[in-house]
Amino acid sequence: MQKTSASYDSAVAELQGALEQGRNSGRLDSATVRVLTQSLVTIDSAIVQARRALAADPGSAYLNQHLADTMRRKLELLRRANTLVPART
Amino acid sequence: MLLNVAAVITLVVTQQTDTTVPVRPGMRLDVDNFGGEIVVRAWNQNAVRVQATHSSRDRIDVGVGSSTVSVKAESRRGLAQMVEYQISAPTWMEMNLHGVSTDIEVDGAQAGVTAETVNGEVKVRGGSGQLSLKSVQGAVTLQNAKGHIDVYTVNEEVTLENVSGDVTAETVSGDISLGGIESASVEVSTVSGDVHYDGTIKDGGHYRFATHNGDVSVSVPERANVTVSVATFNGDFDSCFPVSVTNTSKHRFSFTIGSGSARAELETFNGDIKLCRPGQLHDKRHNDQEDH
Repeated sequence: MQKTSASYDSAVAELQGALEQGRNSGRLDSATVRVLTQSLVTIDSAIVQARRALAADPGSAYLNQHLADTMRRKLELLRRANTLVPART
Repeated sequence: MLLNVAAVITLVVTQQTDTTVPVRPGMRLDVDNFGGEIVVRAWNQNAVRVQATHSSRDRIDVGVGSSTVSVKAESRRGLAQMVEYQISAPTWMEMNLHGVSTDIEVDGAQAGVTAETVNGEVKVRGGSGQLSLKSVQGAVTLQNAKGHIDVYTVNEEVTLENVSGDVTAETVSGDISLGGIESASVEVSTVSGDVHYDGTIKDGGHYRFATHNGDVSVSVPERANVTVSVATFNGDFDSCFPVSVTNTSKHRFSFTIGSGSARAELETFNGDIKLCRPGQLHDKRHNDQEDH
């Protein structure tokens, strides 16, 4: 479980680093980066809520699944963000 | 001063391009447009007509290969920026449409459509086969289509109407509304938004509707055979018809309708879940909105 969590954190950090590079290099325009950042905040907030609920009720199959799904969504969004067509301005 | 006026006049000069090329069945249309719009209307001719409004600095390149017609803009001074495309293409022609700050609209296609943009809406009426519609900042709408359907946006809503086939629909911040759906496989999820489904529940089918912050409302036809699993952390469940709960755990319960051969999962972390008969959901949503 710890190994899975570490690899997830590592993947998120790597993808967020790539997104940051895209922002700094101008490959992604500022409006797109803003939308992606807001969406990541929305997902992070959902992850925090799910984690809190799971801490209070660790045996809940629904909460375990929901947390895993939401964390997967974050990874997918970061992956998609890094494959976006480069901005030309 | 005179120089400035001349410069402004130069900047606003637009040009029209109108080119028609013959095509053969099996060829695909590829359009790449950085900014502006791509509008494709299907017609019953074996030809592609490209009408474009663009800066006089830009040139529209319509390339005909053995299997594709590719449309893009090139500029004498750097990269082409804004082009408004109005394209007529055969109904049988597959389309691959890409943009960055571009709205994309397709009307009347009877083949596969791939439409991807970053900042812009995607609206498709018609289509058959592989239908993949994606945006980041923009609503995605698909109507009167059939096939393998994959729709995605990040920051707006997704709407599907009168669609048949396998459906996957996702957004992060936005509602997802599916009406008139005929499918045995539907997978819908948003993080912040409501989910609404009105369509078939086929024997042996699999249906999943999930959100984190939002309500889930699903219609179940009278003679459906489905095992329904409901999960909500902060929210209520409401049904327009009686159900007998058979399996309960914390935050989740399930019940069977008919033989239960199909499987439906309805989940929301913060929100209510409603089950009604076809046609009742629209009335119920309308009444709920009026109450608020």
